[in-house]
Amino acid sequence: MKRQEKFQRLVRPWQDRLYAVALRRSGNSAVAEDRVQDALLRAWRDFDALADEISVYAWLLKILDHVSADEHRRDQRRQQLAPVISTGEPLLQKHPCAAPGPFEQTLQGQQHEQLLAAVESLPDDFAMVVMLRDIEGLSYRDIAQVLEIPKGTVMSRLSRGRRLLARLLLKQAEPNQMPDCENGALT
Amino acid sequence: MESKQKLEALHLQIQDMLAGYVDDELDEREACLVEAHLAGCEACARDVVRQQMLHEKLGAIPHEQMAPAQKSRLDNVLENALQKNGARHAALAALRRRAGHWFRFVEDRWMAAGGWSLAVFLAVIMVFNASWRHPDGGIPMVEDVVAEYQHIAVSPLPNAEPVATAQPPASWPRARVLASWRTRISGKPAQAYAVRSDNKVLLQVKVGEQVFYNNPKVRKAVADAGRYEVLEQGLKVVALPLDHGGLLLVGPPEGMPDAGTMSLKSF
Repeated sequence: MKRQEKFQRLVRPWQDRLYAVALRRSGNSAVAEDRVQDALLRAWRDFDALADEISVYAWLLKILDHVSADEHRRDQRRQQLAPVISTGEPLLQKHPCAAPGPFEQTLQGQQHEQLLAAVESLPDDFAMVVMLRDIEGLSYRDIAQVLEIPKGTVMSRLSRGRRLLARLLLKQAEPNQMPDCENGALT
Repeated sequence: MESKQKLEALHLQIQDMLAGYVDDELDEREACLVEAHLAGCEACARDVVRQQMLHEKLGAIPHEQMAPAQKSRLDNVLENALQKNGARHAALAALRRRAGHWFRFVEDRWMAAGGWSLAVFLAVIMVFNASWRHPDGGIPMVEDVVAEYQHIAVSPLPNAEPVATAQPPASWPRARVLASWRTRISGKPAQAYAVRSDNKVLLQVKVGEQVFYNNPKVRKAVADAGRYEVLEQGLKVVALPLDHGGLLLVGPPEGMPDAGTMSLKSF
């Protein structure tokens, strides 16, 4: 009975957060529900393997990631080309909105749904680290364990992923807001 | 020229460290290196500020919560899994404790015959453990649908899908669909239908072939008689083959429709 109590205490409080992640990844509540259910059943099966060096939430996210990978969706998305852009990227350099002040205003104009859609539209490797770090708040160490990649790779993917995201948001805002940006008075 | 190339290489290398700088994940030496670069590189300095803003903005996005019906279904599945597996763990733990006592007993008093005693004891454990897992040759899909029936008997009916369009695999006179929802049987997705038949409520669950034909007892019964039937915890479970998969019909024995009046849809 102690095992059950421990599971209820450590794992069950995370089920809503797992659902939120699964929903963001799949865009479908029924699929998200199935994935969370699968992940929690696997977590219960492998509960004895939960080690001290990983946080419970990171461990659950790792299981959820494996569940999603089993459905091949991620592997299909991984085939997308993953562009690497530099801080010297022309759009970031030429566009006045890319300057800190106007960029902040561009960002403030984004709805949560728009931001999530933008993150999801990134190549999967980048979307995952941005989501795990910026939305889920995991440490680099935990992200490295979830995705089974070195910590340095987490950092480089996050740097590139955020840069891609910034460029994407600027591109989306460009048609309507460009004139205001140029005057430095984005409304 | 060479130093310019070196500076460019450093510029590219540092770009991959900017997230670490923003998130305070660099060691002291790395942080100093990045700071020195930022002092002379406006593009990277801007990138740092944009990354900070993105981090803050994304961190403020609220997390979606499960709907009550979804929570209820998840609770049901997990409770079943925890009960089954929890009892098994408790039994194994008890066995281990008993094994410890026995071993000490054998060691103290029967050292000379210890080898034989231990061998016999371990054989008993293995037999007991194997029979414990399936005390009556239980079939996981049957146990799962019975648990699902017991759950809907005491909880509000899940109504994840429109009843009007729900088409359960089996129909018979006076059968009316009350609710339809997705569930999981033996760890695989399945479609469930609560059906009212006179004054009884029956559960129909459509499962895939992999689940339906997993157990040899079911395979043999379906091959011999076209169906498998069992009484489990006072409920009757009838397993009927469909074109792709199978149907599990669960309910009180007296509420089951006659085979002659029941028609099965092809899927």
